[in-house]
Amino acid sequence: MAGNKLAIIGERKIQAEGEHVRYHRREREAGRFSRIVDLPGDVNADSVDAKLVNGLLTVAIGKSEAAKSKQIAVKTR
Amino acid sequence: MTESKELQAKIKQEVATPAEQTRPGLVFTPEVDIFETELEITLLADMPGVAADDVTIDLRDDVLTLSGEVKPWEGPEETDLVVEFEIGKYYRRFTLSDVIDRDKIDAKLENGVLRLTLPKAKRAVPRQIAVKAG
Repeated sequence: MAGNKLAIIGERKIQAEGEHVRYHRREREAGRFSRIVDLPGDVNADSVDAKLVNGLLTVAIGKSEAAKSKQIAVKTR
Repeated sequence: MTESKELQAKIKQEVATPAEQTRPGLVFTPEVDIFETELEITLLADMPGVAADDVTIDLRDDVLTLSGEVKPWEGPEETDLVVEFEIGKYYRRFTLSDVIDRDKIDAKLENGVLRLTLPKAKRAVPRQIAVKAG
């Protein structure tokens, strides 16, 4: 995390399956990947939570106090 | 060069003609690796977002059907900002050329990758017959 930019960097490895296998299809790819995501608005870099479940990465980033919407009560005199 | 190449983001491929869809929603084709040895056929399928309980594997005669349900991860109070990875099930069907020993099929799902091991039935395993000299 830097400012409101989030960088995600990873690598996928696919193990070799031995010398005596004959491939019919080979569509899955391996390699490194990276991506920088611009986040809308200010975020709280101290409240970032990441989990990887079933091959899906979920990153939850808290909004900064300033970015949260606020309701302002209108007083009647 | 030993350096691994940079992976490019790929858009999930939508199934062109899903078989008899009875429920609305998107259906994607999982990418697969299929390889065989003399004893077994192994299939690896990328199904990110699918839990082990939500995979269905069906082998009828020589037709193998894979499908995986993805549980929606969006909360009711969320607003979408960018959606590149759409929610949808996975579906793919294969015709196997070998006879499979159904009792020994093994399936594992790890990090969204399904690994299906299909052992060949005895009569499909190649054998060498030694010829004795009379």
